[in-house]
Amino acid sequence: MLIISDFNADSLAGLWSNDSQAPIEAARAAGFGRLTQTLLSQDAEQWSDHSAALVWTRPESVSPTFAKVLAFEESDHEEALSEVDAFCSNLEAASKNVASTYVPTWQIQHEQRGYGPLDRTPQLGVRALLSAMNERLALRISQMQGVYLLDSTAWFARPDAFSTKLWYLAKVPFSPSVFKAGIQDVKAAMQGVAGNARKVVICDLDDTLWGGIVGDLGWEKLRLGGHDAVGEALVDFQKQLKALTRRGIILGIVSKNTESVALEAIDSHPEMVLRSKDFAGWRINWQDKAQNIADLMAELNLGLQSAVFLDDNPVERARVAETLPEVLVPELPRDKMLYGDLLRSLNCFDTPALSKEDRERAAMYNAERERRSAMSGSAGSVTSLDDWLKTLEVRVEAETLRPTNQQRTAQLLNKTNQMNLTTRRMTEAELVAWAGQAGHEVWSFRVSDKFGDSGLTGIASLRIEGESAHIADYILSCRVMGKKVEETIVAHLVARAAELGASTLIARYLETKKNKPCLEFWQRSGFEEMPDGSFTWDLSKPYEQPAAVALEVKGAANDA
Amino acid sequence: MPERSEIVQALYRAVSQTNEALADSDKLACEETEQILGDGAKLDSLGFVSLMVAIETELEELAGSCPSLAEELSDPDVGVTTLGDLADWVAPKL
Repeated sequence: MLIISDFNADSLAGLWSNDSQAPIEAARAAGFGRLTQTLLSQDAEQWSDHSAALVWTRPESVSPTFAKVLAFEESDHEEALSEVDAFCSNLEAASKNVASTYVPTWQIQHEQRGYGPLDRTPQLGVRALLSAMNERLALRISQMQGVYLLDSTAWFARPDAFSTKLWYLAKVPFSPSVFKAGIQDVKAAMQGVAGNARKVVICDLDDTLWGGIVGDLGWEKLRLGGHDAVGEALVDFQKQLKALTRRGIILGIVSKNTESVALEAIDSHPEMVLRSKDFAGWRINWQDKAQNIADLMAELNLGLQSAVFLDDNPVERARVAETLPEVLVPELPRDKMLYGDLLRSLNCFDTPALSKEDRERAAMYNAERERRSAMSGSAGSVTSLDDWLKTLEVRVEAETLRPTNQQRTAQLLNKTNQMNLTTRRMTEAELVAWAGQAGHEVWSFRVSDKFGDSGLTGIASLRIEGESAHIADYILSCRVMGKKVEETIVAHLVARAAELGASTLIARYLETKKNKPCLEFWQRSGFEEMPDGSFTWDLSKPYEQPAAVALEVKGAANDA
Repeated sequence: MPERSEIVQALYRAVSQTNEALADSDKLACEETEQILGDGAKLDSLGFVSLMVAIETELEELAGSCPSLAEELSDPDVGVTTLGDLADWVAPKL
C-alpha cells in the first residue's frame, strides 16, 4: 500500500505493516509535504510494487479557501469546491498508476465550533462547507474507476481522535486509534474489491434470533417483540439481518433443535420478521454445529471464507472458530439488546459495488432451493439429466461487455474460484480496457429457468492471435453449474471464434487450489487435451449446443 | 502520588502501544533498562515523540496530570536515558 498524505504518515505506515488482518502487506508513506507532486508523479519507481494507494488528506491542505473559512475570513464557498475539483483531477491521474485507490472523507476537530448555531448555514459555516466539500468529493469519485471513498466519521468518533501534541511535535494529526480504525475499514474495502467480502450470515435460533428455547417453551412463549425491551431489540436485530439481504447477503440457520418445531416457530410467530423463505438453507438438527455449517456452505456452493456465524453460546462459538477458522465468528454481546450494535459494526460485508442482482440474491437462492427440491422430487419420474433440464426450461443470454453489465461482470470475475479457467483478476476499469483492445472480446452470460433468473453468472473472453483463438477467461457461478450451461458457453465460443476467422480454439487451464472442477469439466468437454495441458478444438467442426438449453446471443463485439 | 510500580506499568503500556507502529527490529522491550534517549537508543524522532505522547496519556490517566515529557526531556541535563530513569524522574512530578 502506498500512503499519500499531507501529513507525516510514517506511523500510519508502520501500523499498516504490522496489522494482522488480511490483506497482510507492507505500506510505505510517500514523501511528506509533497501531496500534489506525489499525486501527479509519473515516476514509475514511486508506484512500483504498489497495487493500491491510500490518499489521506486534511481539508485545509486541499483547499486554501477552507483554511480561510476556518479562520472566519469571508470566503466564496464555490472557490473551495473548485479546489476540491482540482484535487480530484490530480487524484484521478494518480489512480491510473495503481489498481485501486482509497480516499477517506474529510474531518475537522470536534473542538472546532465554527460559527456555533450558524455553522450549518450555507455559504457561511465551517461545517456547512466541509459537508459540501465531502459531497463534491463523493460525486467526483463516483465517476472514477477504481477509486473508493470511505466515510471516516466512525474513525473519529472518540475524544482522542485529533492529537494536537503529535501534530506540533511531528506533524501527525490523528491519534493511533484513528489510524487503526481507518486501516480496518480500508482493508475491508480492499477485501470487497478483491471479491472476498462475506456473503452469508448463518444464525443460531434460541436466544439469538429470539429469546428463549423454543423446544422448552413452545413458539407462543418466545421472547420476541411486544412491549418488552429485549423482545423489541430482537425484532430490530432480525430487521437488520433482513436489511442485509437487500445488499446481497444471504441468510442461513444452524441450530440445535427439532427442525419441525423450529420451522413452525419461524413461520408462525407473529413477531418474526424473518420467515423460512428468507433463508437460503438450514441445518436444524442435534448434530455438531461446525459440521452443519460446513455442510450448509457446501450446499450453497460457497466457501467457508464467505460465512459469518452468529450464536449466543460462547461454547458453540469457540467450537466453530477453532474447527472452521475461515468462518468469521464475532463475539455476540451477552446483552441481547446490543446484538444490533454488533451487527451494525461488522465491516466484512463491504463491497465496492451493488447491482440489481446483489439485491435479488436471496430470492435467487430461494429459487435454487426450490429447484433442488424439484429435482429430488422428480428423480423417479425422469430418465435423464437432459430430460430433467428440458423441464427446467433453461435459457442463456449471451451479451458482449457493455456499460450495463460491466460492473457485475467485473464482480463475477473477481470472486469466482471453482469454475474459473485462468483466475485472472482485474478491476472494472482494467477489464473494460482489455475488452477494448483489437482481437479481444468479453462475453457475459445470464442464466434463467422456470424458477427464476439467476442473473449474470457466466463470463467468457476470447483473444485472437493469428489463426488461434485463446480463451482468456471461462467463468461460471457455482449456482448454475451442472445444467449444461458450461457446454452452451463453449458452443458459443466455438461459433464466435470460427466467425472471427480462427482455425483453432485453445483453453489453457491454470491450476489454483480451488479450480479443479474447471479442469474436470474441460477433461470431459470433448476438447483434445494436449501434452502441455491445454485443451484445443478444431474450428472446422461445430460444437454441439445442448438441446435442453436455449441460447440467445444479444450482440456481437462490434455492436455499440 | 502513584506507586513507582504503577508508573512503570504505565510506561510499559505506552511502550506496547508505540511498538504497534514499529518494525520488529525497532520495537522496545518492556524493561527498565531499555534505552529511550542518547547514543544507542533505537527510536527515531517520530518514534520518540509517539512514545512520549503515549506515556503522557497513560500518566495523565494514572495521576491526573503529567509534565510535557518531549519538551522537558530535550534538556540533556535531565539525565534520563532509560525507562527506569524516566520512572524515577517523573514520579515526584506527578
